Amino acid sequence: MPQPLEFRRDVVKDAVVLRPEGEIDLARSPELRLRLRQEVDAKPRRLVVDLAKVTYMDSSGIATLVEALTRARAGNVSLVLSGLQPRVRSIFSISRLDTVFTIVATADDAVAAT
Amino acid sequence: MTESSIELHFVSDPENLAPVRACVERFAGNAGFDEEKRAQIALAVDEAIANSIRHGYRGRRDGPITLRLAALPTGGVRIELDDEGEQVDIERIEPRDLCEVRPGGLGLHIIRSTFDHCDWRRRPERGMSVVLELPLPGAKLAHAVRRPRSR
Repeated sequence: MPQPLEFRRDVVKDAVVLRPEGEIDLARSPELRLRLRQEVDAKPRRLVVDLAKVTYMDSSGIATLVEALTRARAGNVSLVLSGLQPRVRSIFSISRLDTVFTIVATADDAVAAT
Repeated sequence: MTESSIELHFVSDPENLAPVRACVERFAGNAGFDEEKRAQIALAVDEAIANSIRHGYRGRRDGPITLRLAALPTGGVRIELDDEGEQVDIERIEPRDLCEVRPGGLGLHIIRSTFDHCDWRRRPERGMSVVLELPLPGAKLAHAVRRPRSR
């Protein structure tokens, strides 16, 4: 049975670092959507979504992140993705969204850039 | 052991996606695809099933889905997905413009980017059927390739 998505959350300087863990597909993306909405609506200066422990993502996960990016831009929140594994990075490339998001290697890089 | 064909029956519950794509990925590996390609095949089949759940069954979790995986005689995989959901206008099955940054619509692009042959059909009584084929590198499909260009 697939496991629910788990989240770790850290606050580093003025950035919130959200670390989902697991596989993000049509079954799990509603959990990610809800959590991202909560985090964006709290209006941190920067929201880092660290995907280092996300082992799989389909287009529903991508759609959820696009929705969060749109919401973040509207709220003047800087949304940064980090830690993409090759399998996850490839879907960003296929969908040509790797240039739309700010993507950095690690969450530390994202925080250091604040 | 190399499986030459597998048939899976399951319902349109998104919780079934993970075990089904694991099976698809293993099958593609046994058919000779490398790690990157079998991951892409599993992703594309996930997208096809997700489309069936979202559009065919409109989120219903109890709709029957059948997935058949077969090895192509010349090397590669043939994947057939049948559902009993709502039928859609085949002319409207087009990936969206990738220049648009908006949620949704990427699944078809992923499916068509992955397979050399994609064929959607209305089933005789109800539901849709999609046939996806990908030969191994160097192998050829036995029939003419029909792969509409994405915009």
